[in-house]
Amino acid sequence: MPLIRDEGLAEHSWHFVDEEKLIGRIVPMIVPLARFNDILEDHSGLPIGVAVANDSDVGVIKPHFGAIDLITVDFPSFADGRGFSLAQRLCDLGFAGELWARGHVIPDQYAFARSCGFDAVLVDDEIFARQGEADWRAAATSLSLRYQKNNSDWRGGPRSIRELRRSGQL
Amino acid sequence: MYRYDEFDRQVVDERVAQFREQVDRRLAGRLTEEEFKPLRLMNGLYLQLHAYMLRIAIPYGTLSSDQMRRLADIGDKYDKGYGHFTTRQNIQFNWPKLEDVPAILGELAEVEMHAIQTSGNCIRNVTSDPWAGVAADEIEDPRPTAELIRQWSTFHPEFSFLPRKFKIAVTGSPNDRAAVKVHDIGLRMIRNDVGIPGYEVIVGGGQGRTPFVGVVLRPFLPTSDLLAYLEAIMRVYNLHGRRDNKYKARIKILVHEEGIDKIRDEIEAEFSGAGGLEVEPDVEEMSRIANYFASPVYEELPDKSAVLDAFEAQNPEFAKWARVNVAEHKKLGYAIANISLKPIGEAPGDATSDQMRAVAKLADQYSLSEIRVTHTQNLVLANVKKDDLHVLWEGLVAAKLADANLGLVTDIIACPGLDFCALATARSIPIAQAISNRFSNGERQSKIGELSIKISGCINACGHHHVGHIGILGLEKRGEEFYQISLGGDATEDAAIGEIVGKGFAHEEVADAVETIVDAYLAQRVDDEKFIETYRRLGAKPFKEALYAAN
Repeated sequence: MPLIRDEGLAEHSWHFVDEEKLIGRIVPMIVPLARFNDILEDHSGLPIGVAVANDSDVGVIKPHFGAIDLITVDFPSFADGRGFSLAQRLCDLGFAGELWARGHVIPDQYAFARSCGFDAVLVDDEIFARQGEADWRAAATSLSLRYQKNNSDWRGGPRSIRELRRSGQL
Repeated sequence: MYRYDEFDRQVVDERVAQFREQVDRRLAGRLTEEEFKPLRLMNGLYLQLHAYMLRIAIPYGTLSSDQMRRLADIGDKYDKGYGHFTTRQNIQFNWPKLEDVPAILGELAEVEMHAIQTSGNCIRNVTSDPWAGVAADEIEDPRPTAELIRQWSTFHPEFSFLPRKFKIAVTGSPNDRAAVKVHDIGLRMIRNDVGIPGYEVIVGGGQGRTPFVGVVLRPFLPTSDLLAYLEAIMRVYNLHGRRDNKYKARIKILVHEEGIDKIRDEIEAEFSGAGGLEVEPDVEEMSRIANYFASPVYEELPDKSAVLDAFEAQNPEFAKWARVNVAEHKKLGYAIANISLKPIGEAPGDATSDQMRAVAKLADQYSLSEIRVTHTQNLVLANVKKDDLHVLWEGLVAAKLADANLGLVTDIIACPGLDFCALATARSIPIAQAISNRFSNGERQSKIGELSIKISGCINACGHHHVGHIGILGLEKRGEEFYQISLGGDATEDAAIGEIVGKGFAHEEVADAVETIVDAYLAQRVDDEKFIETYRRLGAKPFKEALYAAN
């Protein structure tokens, strides 16, 4: 699955692992939330990613945020927007690691994903085959302004109209 | 009214370019139809029975005369010379071609208009009281709040792929003309017991297949907490609203299934803990918005107008219009003139391009160049001097817009129905026309008094039949249209869902049935009791007896 960041297509070395016998043997790995406890015990110190479904109760991993490097939130369908709120909730809970939207996300949702706290999108191969890097880059910046507040960490992302009005500049 | 600054303008211009690019990507096959659908819906573009339909946003129903003229031009250029004003205070064109839509959006953008979020599973165009800012009974002007919500909800990153559509309405008057109790969120502007302004927040109202009157979520929310609180409601809904069945996906179902107390706890928890995407607007931003809605400079006029009195005395037709269609203005010597888009025998809410231009011109001459659209599918000129009412009326007569039937039995709400809509199960417009013709006599209408008839051509209830004093729902069985009648619905502060009166009626029987109901009311009413009051006093029994006695 290709990873899309602000600059375009990006490299990564993470592996999704869901088989018990492989847990702990591939690094760095992303495990489902249900297997997170298995990995915690014998994996301390190594990079850990957790894959969460969009209806997960993410409050349960809050005590372990410090040990988690990456959380991916599933998008089973681009029309199911729960992931956006879940990302926002993770940020509210204080998660400060990498946050990726994963699955059926379309280029037109990239800016929304970034604005809700995602750092990147791990997109389904099938979608990327139809809508490549150029489409993602174009869609990401098709709107240069927005009414909600600024993303402090995305230079080149939409700017907050309210904050621009406040400072009196375009 | 609100005027775009350079930021609002740039947003709309970029949106046009963005949609043009999305259409190109769709035509090239890079976007699938499934992926394109929500994108076009969020730009107001529906695929209907015969063609595409474009729904253009009229935020809280407010239009300038120049915008109205542009709508008239679009009606001529891209449609068949007319447009249809809707129960969402918007306008729809029923015949645009897909390839013309980016150009139409471009022409709209030139006059600060768009079709953003008039459809799709997002926060829809916010609605409000069409008499906002001028009504004699108003506590607080709802338009600055409505404009703030318009901006906040536009392209909201978190809430653009909700379980289902989401509608917010605001009223600033105790007499609710915005139907806030049948919206996903209704906001009533109030003051608390120490005089601080805020909102009563109502949630979970709605019509459709499963109608509910909204319930109070928060009796008092301070003004400064509005956006953060709305975000808390939206987040709980986005995460927990049902996505397994589109007919159970509205927030009303969540509220009903979980119970208001549980939902309230979740929302309050979210509200107290949320960082969220919103920064509450500061005082400068709120006053910047409010300034656009500052009262115009009114002339100091006497309450009574000698000109008006003289014309009323000599012209009974005008006098009737002035009595029925004109409402009290907060300022002495001024009036609110309501323009009926319900001429006898015509499709409710339709206006020709020529009529739109006539209204725009009259607004320029007599009402500060501004027009309001109502959720009852009529228009309003909100600032007319009483001295000018007669000359205004003459202009309306010339445009065939002077029907004196506001709030009367022929002021019917109807959805487009099976004549246009892909979802409809029966025709609505011919039913409205038949009833309108049946009660065409003006004296009889006046005698009957206030009575709202609302007609939907399917169970989705776009014609608001659940909240009609008389509601008519068109259904289909074995290829035959039939119509279910309900009584006692109400969209105001006394909101109620109508109750089905009994077995349905064939297409050609509906006008007779309505007449039977009206006659039963006239026979039973005490003094000048309104229809809804008689219904509340007696219940459905006398009406059932009258309707089904013969069978």
